Amino acid sequence: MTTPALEVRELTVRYGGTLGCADISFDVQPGEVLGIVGESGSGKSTVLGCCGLDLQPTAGVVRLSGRDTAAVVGAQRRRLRNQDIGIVRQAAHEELRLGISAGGNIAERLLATGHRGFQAIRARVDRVYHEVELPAGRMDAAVATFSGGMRQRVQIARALVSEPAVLLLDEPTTGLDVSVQARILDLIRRLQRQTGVAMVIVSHDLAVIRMLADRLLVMRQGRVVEAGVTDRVLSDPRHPYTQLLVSSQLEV
Amino acid sequence: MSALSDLLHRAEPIHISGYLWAYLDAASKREIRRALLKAVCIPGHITPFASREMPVARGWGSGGLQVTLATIVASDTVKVIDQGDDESLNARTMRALIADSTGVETATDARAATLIQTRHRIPEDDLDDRTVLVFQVPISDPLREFEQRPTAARRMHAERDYAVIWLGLYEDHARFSRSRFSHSYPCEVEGGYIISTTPIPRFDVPRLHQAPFLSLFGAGREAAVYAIPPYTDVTPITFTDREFEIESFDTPCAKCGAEDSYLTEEIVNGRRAAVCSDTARCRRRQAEKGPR
Repeated sequence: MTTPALEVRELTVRYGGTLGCADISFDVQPGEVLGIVGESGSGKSTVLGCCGLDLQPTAGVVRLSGRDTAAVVGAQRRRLRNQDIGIVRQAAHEELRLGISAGGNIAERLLATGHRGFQAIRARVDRVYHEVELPAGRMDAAVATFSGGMRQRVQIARALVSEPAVLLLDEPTTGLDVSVQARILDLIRRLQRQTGVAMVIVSHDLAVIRMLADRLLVMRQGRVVEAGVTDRVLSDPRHPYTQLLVSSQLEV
Repeated sequence: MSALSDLLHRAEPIHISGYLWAYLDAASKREIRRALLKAVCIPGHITPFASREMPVARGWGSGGLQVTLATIVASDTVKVIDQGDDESLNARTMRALIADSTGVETATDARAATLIQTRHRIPEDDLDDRTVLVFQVPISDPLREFEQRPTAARRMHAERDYAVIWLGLYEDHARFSRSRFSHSYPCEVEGGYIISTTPIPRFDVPRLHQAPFLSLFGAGREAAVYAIPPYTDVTPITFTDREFEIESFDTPCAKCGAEDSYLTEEIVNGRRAAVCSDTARCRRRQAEKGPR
């Protein structure tokens, strides 16, 4: 039995009197993709926030490669985030500095973890920049001049440059047009298989989840109502809410 | 710097032209000295202090002036420069205030001075361990450009979270193949905090490393001081495969012929010419060379 890349046990988050999520437990093995679906306000992003060390759990444990993250604070916590966790958000400007070049945004995570050789940093940034299929010759252009799809690619490159153990995706393709969406999803799937990174993807779009996720959690009102292998959950939903979710999908 | 008699002398207000000795009242001096002591004890740490209203506008050396007036003793010899020049208006007025309110000696020769208040330069003469250098600081925090929230910047200093400064350096090298810092080059002090060597040119930065003199930085508008104690490591940050470079000049000084000094542009005999920024040293070299 290998150590899971990410272990969440009985995770509960309260925002004052409001429940963020309650009693969430799951494992993600290296190379595995876990999807989390649910409607807005169901607690998906809260769970992801705890995995990404942005939020402190009210109760419960989050372990990264077997290491309890509650004990990691301050500079070590920041280092852990920059080294072992990659994050791709829906709104690129929350993760990227728009006035800084694409290369700079990618390099920042290396600089934050103590890399100090310019040529070596440049070579790593260049490699991952081309891996996410960004246009050659734009690496030193400010991200503000990039389109929405390109910004998502910069985010993916930034997330993967440190070779993290866990990649967290929060609605990575929401708001992009469908053709760009399809190409980004292809890219994510290819890179995930290539690197073998453990991945958690949050989406309200079942098509995205069906394409990427091996296993699936369905959340509602802060709780997991159904969990299982993606194909099983989506083709044979057992919980009434999951049934509603699956039947609500628009057919083209 | 301070003999016992000086301390006694300083504690007692003497009225010169209607002001307290060294202008500031005793409580203000004590508060500023306490902040300075803390700053010296934690090299490079930006230490807040209760910046006073001074008879110069904030941004015109009010911080440096407060540091000078809080640390000066009667036996000091004071030199004040602005861009290396003893005779600029700003330097002259502040020197007059310091001298008139204390009666201390003034000098233009850096080797004779024990307290040097400066903006933009370190005097090029060798300074010894009797010298205190007081810098007038416009922007104290090297993180300011990247992080405007003071609370966030304080946390970043505490955790030595300087990735954004390195990011600025990365951008410069990626786009221009060199660093664009002309002044205020960020330096690591004793392997800890990164400070802004403000606003001296890169040319002067190596002189801060293991310097025998005490450097005090005063920012009046920002109400902050920081310090580099004598014999402290000051390392300009740079990538391991990129050299830190100082400015170099392709002509000697048009007045004294020096080839090892920092030059500025000036009109000499109706023509643009590169001349020493350190005017006192330039004049001495001219005198040594004799009339042309």
